[in-house]
Amino acid sequence: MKQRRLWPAVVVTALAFVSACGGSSGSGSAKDGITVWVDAARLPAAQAYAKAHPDKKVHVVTFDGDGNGATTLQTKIQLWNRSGKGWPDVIFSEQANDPVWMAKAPFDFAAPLEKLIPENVRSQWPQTSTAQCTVGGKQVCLQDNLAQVVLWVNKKQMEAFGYTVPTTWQDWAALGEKVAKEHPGYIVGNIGDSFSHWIYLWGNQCPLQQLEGDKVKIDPTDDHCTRAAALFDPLIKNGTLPPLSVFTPDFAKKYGGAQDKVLLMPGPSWYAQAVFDQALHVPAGEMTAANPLQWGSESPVTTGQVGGGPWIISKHSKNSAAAADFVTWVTTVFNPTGKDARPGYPAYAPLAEKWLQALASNPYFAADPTPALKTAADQVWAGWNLVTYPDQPVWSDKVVTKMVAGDSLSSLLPTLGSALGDAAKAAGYSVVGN
Amino acid sequence: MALLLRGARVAVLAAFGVFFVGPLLWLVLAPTKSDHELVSRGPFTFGSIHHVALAWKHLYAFSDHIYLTWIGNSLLYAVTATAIVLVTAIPAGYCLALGSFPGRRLVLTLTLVVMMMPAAALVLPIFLELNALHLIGSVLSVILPFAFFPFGVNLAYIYYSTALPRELLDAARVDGCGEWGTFRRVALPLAKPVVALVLFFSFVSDWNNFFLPYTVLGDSKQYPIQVGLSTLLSSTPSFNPAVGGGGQQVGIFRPELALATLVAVVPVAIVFMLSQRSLVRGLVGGGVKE
Repeated sequence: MKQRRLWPAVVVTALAFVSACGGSSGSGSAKDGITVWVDAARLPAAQAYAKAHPDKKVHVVTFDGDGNGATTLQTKIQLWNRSGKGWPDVIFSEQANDPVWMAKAPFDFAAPLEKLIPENVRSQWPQTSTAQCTVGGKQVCLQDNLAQVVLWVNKKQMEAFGYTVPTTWQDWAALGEKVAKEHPGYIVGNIGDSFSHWIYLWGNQCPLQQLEGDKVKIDPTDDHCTRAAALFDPLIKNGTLPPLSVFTPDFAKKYGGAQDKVLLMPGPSWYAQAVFDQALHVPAGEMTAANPLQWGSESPVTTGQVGGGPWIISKHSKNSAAAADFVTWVTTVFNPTGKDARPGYPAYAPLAEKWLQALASNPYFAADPTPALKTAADQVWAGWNLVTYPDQPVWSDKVVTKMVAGDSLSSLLPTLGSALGDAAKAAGYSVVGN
Repeated sequence: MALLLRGARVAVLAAFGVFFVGPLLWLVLAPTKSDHELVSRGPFTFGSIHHVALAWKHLYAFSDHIYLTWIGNSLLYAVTATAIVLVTAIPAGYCLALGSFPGRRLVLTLTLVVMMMPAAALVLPIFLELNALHLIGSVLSVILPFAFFPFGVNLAYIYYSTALPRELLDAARVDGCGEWGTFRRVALPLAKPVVALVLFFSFVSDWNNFFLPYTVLGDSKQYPIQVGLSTLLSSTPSFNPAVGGGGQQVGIFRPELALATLVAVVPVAIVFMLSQRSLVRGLVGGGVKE
C-alpha cells in the first residue's frame, strides 16, 4: 500500500523539480550587464565593483583560475565557440600566458584593448608588463599584479650567522658553499618548483622562449644558460639549493616553521605571504626582501617573473564598454587595506605606490621590503616571452625529476631545450637555435 | 606450522588493512589539525575539535557560502535523476526480462554496449545535443543525461529474469490483473532489493560525476560538489601555487579541503546506510536456486 502511494509522489516531485529548475540561467554576455569569471582570490575585487556600482548588473562566476596547468579555459572557450554563445565578458586568469593563445585561432577570444581602455591609463603599466600582454602587435590584457623576482632574506638568521646579504649571483653562490660547510641543512634557495626556471633562468637571460616574429628561439647552449647552470650545480649538490618544491609538506617540515632553515630564497613578490608566512610558517619579524641578484658586474640587472595574472575582455562581449569599465576599476581603483589588502604587487603603477606604502609598515617583515620590490618591478627581462604552449610541465618532467635523481642541471639543459622545441613545434611555432 | 601459517595470514591481512585504512584515517584526522600541524605533527595524531570548527568556518565563508550551494545542487541533480531512473529503468528491465516484442534482443545488446562505454566518451555528443536543444547551462543539461542509466535497466533485467518466479505473475493474471497491474502489484513490490540497488548505484554515479557538469554548466552557483571540490583544490596554495598570495585571503588550506571532501561523502554514506539491507539482499538475489 505504501509503495502504491510512493511512486506517483516520486514522479510528481521529479517533474516538479525539473520544470521548476529547467529555466535556470547560465552564464554569458547579457545586454543589460556583464558576466565576469574570476578565481576565488579575485572574487572580493569583483564583488567590490558590484557594490560600488549598484546601477550596473554584474554576474560573478568563480572558477579554478586556470592555474597550475589546468585547461579549463581552453575547454570552455572551445565549447562556447562551438555553441556560439555563453562567453563571459571578462575573464581573470592565474596563467600569465593565457592571453597569448586566447588572442589566436581557434580560440579567438581576447579583444584588443586599444579602443576599449584609453592610452593614458594603459601607459601606467610597466613596459615589461604591457609587452607580456601584447600579442601580434595588439594589447589584449592588463596584468592584475606583477610577480617580479627579488631575493628574499631571512634577516634574523643571516645576522645570527654573521653573513652579509649578497648582491651578485656569484656572491650568493659563494655564500651557499659557505653555508653548506658552516651550517649544513640551511638553504639559500630552491629549484624544484614547476616554475623555478622562471626564477633562475629567466632572470639570467637564458633564451628558452624568445619570440622573433612567428619563430621562437630556444637555445640552451647560450652562455647565459650554461654559466648559470654551472653556478647552480655545486649548490644543488651540496644541498643549499634543493630540487624540491616549496609547497610540499616535506619542504615545510625540513626547512620551515620551527626549523627556520631558509636563509635566502630568490622568488617572486608574492612569496612573502604565500610561501614564508603561509606555507613555511616562518615567524613574523624575520623576512625581508633584497634587490634582484646581478650577474657579476653586468648591467642592466635583470630578473624573472612568476605570475602576473591577466584580465582579458571577450571580443564577443555585447557590453564591452561596461567590461572595460570593470577591468579598469579592479586594476586601478580596487585597493583595500588591512587583512583584505591586495595579495600581489599591483601592476598599475599609481596603485602600486599606495600599496607599497601600506606594505612598508606590515609587521610581518623584519625590514621594509618595498624598495627591493619597487626596483625589481622594472627589471623583468623582456627577452623571455610568453608562448601558447605550457613550458612548466616540460621543466618539471625533464629537469626537476632528473635533478632529484642526482643529475646536474648543466647535463639536463640539452634535454630541456629539445623537449621545449618539441612543445613549440607541436603548438605551431618555428623553432630557431635548437 | 599451523601457527606460522596463521601468523602469516594475520600479518598479510593487517598489512592490507593498514594500507587501505591508513589514507582514510589520515583524511578523517586532517581537519582536526592546522595546516602547519598537518606537516609538522605525526600523520595519525588528533589535533583538536577547535580546528575542525575553524576549518568549517573557512569552508562556509568561501565564495559567499557556495559550498552548501554545491551540496544542494548535487542533491537536486542526483535525487531528481535517480527518481527518473527508478521510474524508467525498473519497468524497462521488467519488460526486457518477461516481455516478448520485436527488437528485444537488440535493445538488450544496446543496453549492454552503452553500459560498457566510458561516460566521458559521450560527453561531447551530449554537449552538442544539449546545445541544439538550447539546454546548455540549465539544470536539465545535467539531470537528463544523468537519467540515462542503462546499468539500472540491466540490473532490473537480471533480477526479473533470474529471481522472480513466473508462476507468481501468472497467478496475478489469473486473479484478473492486467500487465500494468501485475507489474505494479506483484513484480514491483517483490523487486525491492533491485530497486534499492539501482537507487544506490544511480545516486552514487550521479553524485560522483564530474566531467559532464563541468562541461555543460557555466555558472559556479550551479556546480555540483564534485566540480566545486576541484575549484576548492585549485584555491589551495599547496596544490596550486599559481593562486599566489591570494590564497591566504581565500582561506582554503589542506584541512579545509579534507573537511570539504569528508562532508561531500556524507550523503552517499546516508544513502548506503538506508539501502544497505536491501543492497545485500539484491546482490545475492538469484544466486541460489532452490
